[in-house]
Amino acid sequence: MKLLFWNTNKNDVINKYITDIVSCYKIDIIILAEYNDSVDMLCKDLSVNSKYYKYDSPGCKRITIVGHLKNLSPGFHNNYCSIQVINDQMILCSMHLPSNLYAGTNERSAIIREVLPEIELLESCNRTKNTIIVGDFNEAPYEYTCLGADTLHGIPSFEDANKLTRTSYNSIYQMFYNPMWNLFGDKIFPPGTYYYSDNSMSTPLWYMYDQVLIRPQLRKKFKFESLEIVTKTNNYSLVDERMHPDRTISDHLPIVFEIDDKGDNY
Amino acid sequence: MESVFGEKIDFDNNDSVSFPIDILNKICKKANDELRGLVNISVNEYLNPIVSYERPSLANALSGMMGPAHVDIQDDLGELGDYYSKYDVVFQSDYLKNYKFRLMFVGCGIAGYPAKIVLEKGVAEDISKDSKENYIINIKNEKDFENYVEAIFNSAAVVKIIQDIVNATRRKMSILGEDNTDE
Repeated sequence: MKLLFWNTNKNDVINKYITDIVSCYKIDIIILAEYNDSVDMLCKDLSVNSKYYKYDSPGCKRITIVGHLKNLSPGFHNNYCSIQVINDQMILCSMHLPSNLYAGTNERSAIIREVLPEIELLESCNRTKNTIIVGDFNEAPYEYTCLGADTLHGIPSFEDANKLTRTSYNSIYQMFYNPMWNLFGDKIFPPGTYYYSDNSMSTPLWYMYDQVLIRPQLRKKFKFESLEIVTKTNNYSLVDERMHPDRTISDHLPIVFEIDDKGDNY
Repeated sequence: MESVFGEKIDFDNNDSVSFPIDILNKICKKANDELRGLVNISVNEYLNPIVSYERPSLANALSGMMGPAHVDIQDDLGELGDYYSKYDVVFQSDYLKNYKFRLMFVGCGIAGYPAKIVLEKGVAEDISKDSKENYIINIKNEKDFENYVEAIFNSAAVVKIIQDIVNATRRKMSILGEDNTDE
């Protein structure tokens, strides 16, 4: 099962790029933030070999989810989050948290603190820890919303995350594994999913705002080598001549990854 | 003595206050009756989950009036005004077993009013786009509370969400071969 997440920056002619990514990477589930193009046309364009649907997400306008798998059912929803349960076996939580224009770390963390118990409830009801959280968090993996014990608790090393819980100040917190830490730096281009240059004294310029986190219990099914920040497709480059995200397409770069679903019935 | 109080006690006095929970239950019951069983709107006592953290969640918007999550009752004995009830109003569907949308939190004191509504941010933004803080509403009395909750339910944003749940439910019922809501 291959998944794509992309903040499409309200581009109302983005479908051709999405279609090309889906074709290039054989994507099964497409998760979009700030999507302003026609979802009906997108589904039509994608439905070449199999029929693509827009999945129900009542109460969440910030996320649009499209795919050809049939066994998705909506879970908890709010303005920032759409949770889908895949075949009662996997929990897919898609998020688009508010940017620094509208909120800070405290507000983003508060949103996560409302969503986390709903994820844990779904995990309990569906007896699974196969949980994926993906989205535009508007925060880097090293910032509090992504790393804090009482928020996403996304640990960079699987060996540590695989201890499943960590105790801090007498409370026990479950962990997620955040593989995005491996994509920092310029050893492999690009160094992030979003580029922003300003005059502040300290800035990484490249930001890893778009991320996927998984429960460590899902690590065996997570195809590590499939995790990629997409910069080009068959027909398009998503970066400009300066090698920054081409803002005429989107100011964010998409991420793709694969979950091994052999033996699963999706 | 024939009678202690005589006829001084009026047992037919209807001036009692309807608490926020009563008004919420009344409005939700009416709404559920109109929704043909496709959407369930419920009012629940809201308890902070303590599965993996102790801090209050989004309901911490209510925390200013609720005080800290863990209170030593000995510190608060006799201070009835500090006692608050919290509820949430949730949309669900029998046919979408995992689905949940929390429309609002409501907090109130032992007297019922003033009450505080913490509205889901997306709904609040749709209802009034001119303020960033409009998702927290302080309500002085019963009449204003009932009017405000009815206005929330009648808003285009809430109607759209309920319509989307109805559509999703009917799609699911259709898959199960159970959709006869038009009959």
